[in-house]
Amino acid sequence: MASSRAPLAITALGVLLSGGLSMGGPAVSAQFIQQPPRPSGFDQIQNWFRLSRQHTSGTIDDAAKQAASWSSFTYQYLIEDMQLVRLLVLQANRLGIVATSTSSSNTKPVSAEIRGRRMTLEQLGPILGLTKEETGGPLSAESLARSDGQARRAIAQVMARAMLMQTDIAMAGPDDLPANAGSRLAASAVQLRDGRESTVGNIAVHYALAREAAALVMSASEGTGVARQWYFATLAYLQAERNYAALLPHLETARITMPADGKIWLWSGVAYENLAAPAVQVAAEGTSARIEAPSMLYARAEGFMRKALEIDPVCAECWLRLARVEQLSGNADEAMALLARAEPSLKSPELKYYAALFVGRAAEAMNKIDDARAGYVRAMALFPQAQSPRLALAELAFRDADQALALSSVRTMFVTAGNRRALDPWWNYDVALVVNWPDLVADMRKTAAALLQAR
Amino acid sequence: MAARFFTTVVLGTALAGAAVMEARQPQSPAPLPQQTPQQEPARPVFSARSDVVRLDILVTAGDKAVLGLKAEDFRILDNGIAQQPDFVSFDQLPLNVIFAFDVSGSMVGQRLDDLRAAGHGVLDQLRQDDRAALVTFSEVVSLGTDLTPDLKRVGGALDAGRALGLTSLVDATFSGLMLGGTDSGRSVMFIFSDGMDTSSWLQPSAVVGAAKRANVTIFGVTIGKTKGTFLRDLAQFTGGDVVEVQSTKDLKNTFVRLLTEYRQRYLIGYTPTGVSATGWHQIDVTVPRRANTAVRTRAGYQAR
Repeated sequence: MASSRAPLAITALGVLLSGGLSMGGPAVSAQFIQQPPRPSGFDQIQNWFRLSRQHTSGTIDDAAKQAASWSSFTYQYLIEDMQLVRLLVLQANRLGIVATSTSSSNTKPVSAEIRGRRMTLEQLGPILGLTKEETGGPLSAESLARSDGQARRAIAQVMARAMLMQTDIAMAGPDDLPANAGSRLAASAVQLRDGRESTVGNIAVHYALAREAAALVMSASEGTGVARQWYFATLAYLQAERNYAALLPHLETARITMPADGKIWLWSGVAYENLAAPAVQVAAEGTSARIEAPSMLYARAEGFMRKALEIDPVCAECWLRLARVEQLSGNADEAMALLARAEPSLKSPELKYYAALFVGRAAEAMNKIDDARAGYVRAMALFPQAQSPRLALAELAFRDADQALALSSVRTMFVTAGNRRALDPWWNYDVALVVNWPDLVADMRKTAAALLQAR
Repeated sequence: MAARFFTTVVLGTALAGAAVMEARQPQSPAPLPQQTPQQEPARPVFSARSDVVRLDILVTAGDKAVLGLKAEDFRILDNGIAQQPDFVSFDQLPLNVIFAFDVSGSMVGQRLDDLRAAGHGVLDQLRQDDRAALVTFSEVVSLGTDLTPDLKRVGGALDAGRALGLTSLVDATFSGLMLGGTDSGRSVMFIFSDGMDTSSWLQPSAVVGAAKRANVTIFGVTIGKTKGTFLRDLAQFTGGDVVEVQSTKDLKNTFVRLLTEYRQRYLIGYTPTGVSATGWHQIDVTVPRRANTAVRTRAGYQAR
């Protein structure tokens, strides 16, 4: 289970470079999918929680397969009912806090209603499949007022299971799921692979449902860390997969949920930077993928990155990425200044390499060819087998009418890189932040397992 | 300061005949130094420089090439100033054929087989003095063979290798330009890609700029609609073309046709007079005494 797809394959927009990239596209015609009537009760959501209890995290078992076979209409109803559950817990929490603060008992019936659909606190326990023993007595406003209480922990555990099952479904490979799993998702995404367009099911709905559950995991004190790790693991995965159809809404909720976390803002900036990249823009040309113009995307990227720096002014990678965005926006001077700030603090060879390459490019834009050359030579020193700096130096030489040096640089590039797949970190730049996504997912599962075992 | 057309220096000396060939010999580039971070390689100096501008010109009437034209049949304007051809050559010079072939992951299977067959189709059409080189690219730009008259070796390199990875079309194009722009004869590059560039560092505008200064005619072949402007710009500025095929099964016929067309071009050289020694020079070529003819050549050249 989980993705073994090489992250290089896909471009975020649904362009599969090595993997694939999905971008939100037009909905598949609803005429092919029969919309089921909305169930009057809560059997469906109760079934979902039941399946998640049966599910083994990290696998695509029968429980996950059954949930995966539901249509997007069913998922939409589930999301709405989850919003009702969240509202109900919130109502109970507020009433409980009031009761506690006034040293009284809440006597008001606790319920929540959204668009005529009503759920009561008495219904919640059975819907979640929780017993009174698990919740430390009947669910009440007082019991739900304590974020570190047994009731909230029990709810967080139920939600964590559901969140994990839905994540497993979202991350499943195409061969792991029932044949009709994707086709029953009405919303489609445009997948672009090496210039060819295809329509795929938009898995964003799985993350949308999982986010509803994550909100209730996060609201319990024991669940906050799990929910946070879950966000980072799934964001990293989606970025590595270049699945922007699912990534962008996921990032948006993450920013709302964790506004003080600078990393979320940096990752948001990187997502938009990647969307603006020529590779993605050209790939989307003439397809049904919807994407904004680079200038708007770079502006958004810059905004997010500057926000990240407000939160964490010493984030060297933020300075680096912002420099790149400024350079691509035509502000080479600003880029050089940012790079000068970033370079001394960058730790990894890859980040230093990027900085050196970007210095080269920015200096070229400023017609400071000697500085450009110096940047590329620095990059070459860090990764002697990388092709990019050698090609850059060759191009500068050719521009300077030194054909022999240009040819020499190209030939040396052939020799040093050879026909081996020598690593040039430039090829991974768009996903460099998230190459460790498997570790993030593994760590998240471990932390979630600890929550699920807590008593 | 005289314009420096370094590619024309090498190619121009060969065109001008024995005297130039003699002058050319001592100017061969220095042996390839290993470019290490700690040292800059020695820069060879060309003491003989030619200002000859070379044009590969295709003249057609309808869809047929017009043959048998002489120097006086051509009217050449360089930035609007009429120029006098120094020489006209037709199908006399050996060819340098550079293949730049996309072997990214999407080329697996039949597509790669068809591409190989297309390359062999071109090699089969080459003559004894012709040379070929092969550059393949995924994200890695690899040298199959350098320019060589050993066409069997090129064929062997075509058959080796496998499809895997991303697409560094722009980087590969530049690499091919360098291989093709440095030698005698007439250089033509066939670029095939089934996708778009996804991993190059070099910017398309920079490589198009290099193409304007190199003496390599570029033909781009894509599957389906060509995306972006890179290949079209290369074709426009070098006097080549972009062909969109519907299937890789069409590649062999397409490449062979393009080679045949290329051989039907006139090679004309002239020494620019009355024009600036620097900057971009727009070239316009017509055949005034022949009605209903179309002329295709490079759009111009970048003088240093």
